[in-house]
Amino acid sequence: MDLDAPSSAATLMAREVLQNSWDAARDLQTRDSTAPQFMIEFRFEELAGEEKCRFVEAFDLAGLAERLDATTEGRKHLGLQPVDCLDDIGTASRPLRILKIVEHATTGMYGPWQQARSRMYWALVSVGYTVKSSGSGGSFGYGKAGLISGSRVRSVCAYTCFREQEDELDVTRRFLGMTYWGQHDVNGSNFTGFARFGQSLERSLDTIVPFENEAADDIASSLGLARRSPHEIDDLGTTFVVIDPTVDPSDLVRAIERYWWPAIVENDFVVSVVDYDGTQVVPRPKRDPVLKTFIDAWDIAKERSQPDRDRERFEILTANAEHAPPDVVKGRPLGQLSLVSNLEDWSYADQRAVPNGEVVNHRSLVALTRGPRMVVEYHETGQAPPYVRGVFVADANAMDGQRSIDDYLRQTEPKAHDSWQSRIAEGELDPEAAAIAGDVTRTIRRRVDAFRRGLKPAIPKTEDVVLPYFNDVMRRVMRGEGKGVPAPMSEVRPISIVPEVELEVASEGMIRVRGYVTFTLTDHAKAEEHLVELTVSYRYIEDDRIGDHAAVQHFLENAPGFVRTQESRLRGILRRGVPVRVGFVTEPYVADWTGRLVVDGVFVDSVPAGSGAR
Amino acid sequence: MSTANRTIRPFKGLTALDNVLDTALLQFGPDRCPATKRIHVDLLAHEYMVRPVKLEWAPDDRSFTQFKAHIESGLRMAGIGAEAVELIAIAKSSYLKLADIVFRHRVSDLGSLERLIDITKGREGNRARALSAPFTGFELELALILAFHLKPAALKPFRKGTWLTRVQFGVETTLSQIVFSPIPLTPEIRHSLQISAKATRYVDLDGHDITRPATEQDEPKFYVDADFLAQLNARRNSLLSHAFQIQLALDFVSAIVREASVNHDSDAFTYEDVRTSVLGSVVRMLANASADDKQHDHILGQILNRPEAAIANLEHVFNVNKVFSDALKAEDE
Repeated sequence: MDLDAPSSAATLMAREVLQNSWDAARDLQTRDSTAPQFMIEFRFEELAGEEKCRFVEAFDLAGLAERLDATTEGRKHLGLQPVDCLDDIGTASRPLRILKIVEHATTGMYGPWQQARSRMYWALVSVGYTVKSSGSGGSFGYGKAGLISGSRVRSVCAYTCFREQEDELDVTRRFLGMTYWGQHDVNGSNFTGFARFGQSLERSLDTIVPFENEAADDIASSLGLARRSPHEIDDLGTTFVVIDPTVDPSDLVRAIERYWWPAIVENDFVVSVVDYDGTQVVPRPKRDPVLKTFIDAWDIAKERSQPDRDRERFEILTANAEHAPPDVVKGRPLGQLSLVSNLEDWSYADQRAVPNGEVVNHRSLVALTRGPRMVVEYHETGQAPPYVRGVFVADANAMDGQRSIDDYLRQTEPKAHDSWQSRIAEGELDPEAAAIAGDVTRTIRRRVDAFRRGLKPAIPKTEDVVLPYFNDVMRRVMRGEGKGVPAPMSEVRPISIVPEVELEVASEGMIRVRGYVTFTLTDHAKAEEHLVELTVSYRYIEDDRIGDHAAVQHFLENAPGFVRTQESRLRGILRRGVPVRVGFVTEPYVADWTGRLVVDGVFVDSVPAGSGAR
Repeated sequence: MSTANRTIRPFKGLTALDNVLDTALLQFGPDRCPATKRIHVDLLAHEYMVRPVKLEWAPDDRSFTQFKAHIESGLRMAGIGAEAVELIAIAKSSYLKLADIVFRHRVSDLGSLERLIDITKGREGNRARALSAPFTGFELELALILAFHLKPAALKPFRKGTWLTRVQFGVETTLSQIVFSPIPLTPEIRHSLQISAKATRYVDLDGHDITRPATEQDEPKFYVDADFLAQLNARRNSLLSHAFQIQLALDFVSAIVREASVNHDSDAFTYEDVRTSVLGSVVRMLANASADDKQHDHILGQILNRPEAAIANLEHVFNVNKVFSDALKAEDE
């Protein structure tokens, strides 16, 4: 998963922003059965010239730039990046980049602003966060982190439209801008760094509240946002504007695909990303070969496809009495687990270098999912091959008055919703929920281990070892079917050896071999003379094999300078053009034996012409 | 090093018979095998079993007449009467460990010899058993032999069955079962071999003489770590697995080369001595297809004297470089 991973900013935005919007859409769908399918668009735009000037003026970005200049702290202290749009905010020709996130068919951020009961307040202003209703994904408040980290200048605005609520009549739209800088000083005065872009209440001039209704519509229009009507269900929802985005469109698409593929393949909502040039990109997770494997597992978990017994598994995990809390019935379904493998490919992927020189550490991973169908976490379940991948879908059914497993697990998620925690400081987590989270992750690990063990090829019996390539090579070896290497022809040998042999009767029933072997330097000898060792031996053939040596007597009268150094071995100088003729005679042997004359000549050392060892 | 070997039988006067059988041709169905050569056929077992086996003494009638005259004159020069000599063909199956005389003919009756003879059937009228081993093929030896004892004389052949001249033919099949499938190397085997726990490969040549006919002995044992073998077996068709497989084959053959070099004198053999052995196969593997026995001897000498050079040349023959490169490229893709 490390390969081609989206940036952390894109991941945060994809997870948090989309989760909050999706929660609001599901909320609307619960309240209104006629609600259309939730749609969300991430539209990247560049504003230049008049367009930029209008936006800068409407959102008072010049004021932000002035504040930045006036602060004594550096950018880093404020949480800003070294370079951003404020550097040339007054240059009309220098495009200003923005990201519009446009929801369709959500509840919008309703609720009275007073007493901080507005969802807009919770989402954009509140410092803490609030747990949402059962079954939802996010928590009010943390979602802003996805927006803040997505803006180089840590500035966003939101234009939301909702139905009139009983606790707040006459308000259906709000607009609020926020800047989230670090605490800083200007001219000796200290500021929190949190700035709101809204209207001042007459009775409380130092309090900035959102623009409402027509005022909100107007400011939205001035920023180039489409007006929303509370009477059109499709218009219900929020438009966020992220100023000077840190993420790029392709990065965001990758992040959406990676964490929202369950919802996308289930067609829960439609999400699209529009690039700066207007190109619309729809996330297609199945195109990603890694995500495709998780989607295959998802299809098995959803019982749309049957697991291949040799390489896939599907199980309904049940609560374990040892680990589950007492009030959770033993054997209660925890969720569905499906696992897949590919033994010919990634299950045995090597830790290998990638082009940028990094080493990829392969892991077995299970995508943990709940009701919102966002991948909570790619939960690591093993570091050794065979690697497997899988999906766990938490059981969403409440039973016997107990909460659903999905709900228990939701409670164990940290504010980033990226794990199910089983250990946390006392009092911070429902102990029953933590116990269930522990039971779920342990059971997943156990089942993955069992699956991996089953995948490991059993030690084969000898007769079951079929290595076709090895066999093919060995078959060729045994047939002696090589392409061969060029063998030196006899004439390239540096010493020519010419034996002449004669059989003779030695005595009654005994014979012997007498003869000569002539040694001559060939043209392939490099020097004019060489110190050589010559062997003239005779061996009996016994049972078709070479056997004992016969005693051999050598005659060296035609081999001047040669001396016998060992049995059958002679040493001396062989000179070009001067043949050396070694005579020999074997001992007498039985008259029907076969023997073999074995002769060789080898250079012991090159002897430069004229300097021979005489 | 320059070498020369000459086998000296205890007879004089047989030189004229030396090449007399060289015109003979073995016909195995439509396949032809010249004297002193081996052919390889790619057949199913049942196809092999119905193939006729024939011997053609000479390519045409004129040559056939010369062939017969050559035998007669050779025997005269050797001082051996034609009535004492038989022309025989012996089919051998080293796998079945048997030899069948599939043809015999008195040389004194050469006039009745036909130029092409069918040797498929044995004496009982069925296909000769030595020709009925489709998984290993057969050897055929054609020889002039003494049909009975002669009065002993110095430097003259006299024992019944002594061959005066001979040639061999070989037919091999793709069905050959001489495949050294690796054996899983388990802790128990490691213990019995007294090799360490993490040893991956072990070639056990104990009990197999690499210079003796391969099919007459138990196969060499090639042990490969059981877990590694299981992985290799599971992914047998991947390029990476191919690379490992060819390395294993190279390891195995290298062990044979080193065994030959360490345990045998450099003048111990000629190629002819080891032709049907594992070592002979390695020699042929290293040789060009057109290599003659002199070149085979040279390669055998290299194996015995410069084993590392022979192993390096095996890498050429196995095309190791390409197999390794393909595996690495596949990993990059």
